[in-house]
Amino acid sequence: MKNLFAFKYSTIKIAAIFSSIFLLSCAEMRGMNVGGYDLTPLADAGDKLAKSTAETPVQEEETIGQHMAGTLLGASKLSKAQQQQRYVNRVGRLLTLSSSRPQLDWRFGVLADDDVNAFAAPGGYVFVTSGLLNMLDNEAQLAGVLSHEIAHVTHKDYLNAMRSNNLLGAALDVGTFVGSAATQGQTSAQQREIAQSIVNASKEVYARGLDKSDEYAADKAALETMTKAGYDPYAYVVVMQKLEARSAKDSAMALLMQTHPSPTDRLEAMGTSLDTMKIPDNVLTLDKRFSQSIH
Amino acid sequence: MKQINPTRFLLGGLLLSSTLTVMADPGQTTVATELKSSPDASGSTVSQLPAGQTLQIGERKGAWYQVKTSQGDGWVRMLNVRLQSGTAKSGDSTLSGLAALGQATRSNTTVATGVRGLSRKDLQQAQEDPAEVAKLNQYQVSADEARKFGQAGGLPAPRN
Repeated sequence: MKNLFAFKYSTIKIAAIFSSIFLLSCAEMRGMNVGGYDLTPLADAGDKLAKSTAETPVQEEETIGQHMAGTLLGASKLSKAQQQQRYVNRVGRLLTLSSSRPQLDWRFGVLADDDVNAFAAPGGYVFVTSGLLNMLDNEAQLAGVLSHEIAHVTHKDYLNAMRSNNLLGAALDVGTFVGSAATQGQTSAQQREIAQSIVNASKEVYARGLDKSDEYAADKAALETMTKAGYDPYAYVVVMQKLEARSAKDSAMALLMQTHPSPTDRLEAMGTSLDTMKIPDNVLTLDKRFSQSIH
Repeated sequence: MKQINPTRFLLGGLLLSSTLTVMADPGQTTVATELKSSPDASGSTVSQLPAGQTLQIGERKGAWYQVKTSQGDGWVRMLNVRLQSGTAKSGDSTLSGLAALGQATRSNTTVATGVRGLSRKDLQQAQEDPAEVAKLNQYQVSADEARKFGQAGGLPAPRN
């Protein structure tokens, strides 16, 4: 009885504190003391939350992604192999259902390019070159490649790269983005300026690549996502060994090598990740479905 | 009209056939590692392989490659192996020699599958192509279709 009462009391007390917090701004909360609780940490958390949602509302992310994907497709066109496009979309969309952001408007594309590479853009765009696709043996290997790119989207790596390098300066100065609720106030000249600054930022980020730490994190997430979806994660290790085996002097590997840690280093990190993962016995590679759809 | 160099043509054919023989990829160990009788750490040890041991890789089971070596046949941890051409200097082996020659021919031939090369420069000079982005939509797959596709392949129902 006594315990139950104590529980009720503390629930009411917490509810009271939260409702009073609603009436306060984070700045007002700082250093404040309600019912013996210091509200400073809550104020900090509130600030962070407000900042992160202000930085990346989904609409803004989609707008940036659309221009970024358009920029990539300006440099490399979509393959006309419709069966491949459809197949890669099926595998990719299935993987996103095991990712942390299944609700995004995911789209996958095969680029008609002999170079070996894969790309992503904010909002749910993922691309793989036919050069890379042709190196693969099964669906699980493709799942590894796509899951790596999916992780760049769910981790918001491209958005962060644009922000941390101040590449979106002009667009951010305007305050809001094309497509957002506040767009009505923007002139078409402002919108063009925003779009152009996104395109310029996209070129820069694709050419520079992401941070090495982003690449390692995407490899780790890829192993986890593909395993969760039922694919054999060691198939992704095979992909990395294939990349390692292609000479660094191979011109088809040039951009990938310039923008990523070496496959040897990535393999070492993947080995560490796999050591701590629990992998079910019944994971699949789906060789036959892959060869029927790709080759 | 481009003349076909018969040597290149022949080497191209050889290169193609070598990639088709999946069952015997040459590799080597990157560290000293145990050659096991089964794809399992608790299996009996056939022999202790030194770093740099060359081997022929067959099938894979989980984290293990089935291999043939001069020290015997068995299974090794795949993460202790690298595919041969990754380490071999040009001319070290027939395969890397062929690969190097194949590379030389690559840039001079028109490949049917796609465009040649997506360089840093191409990206820096790119012009946005919204029409191509619109084309992506026709291939887009719904979550429901994706679930059915997973089920058809025998994959578990996605959970999040």
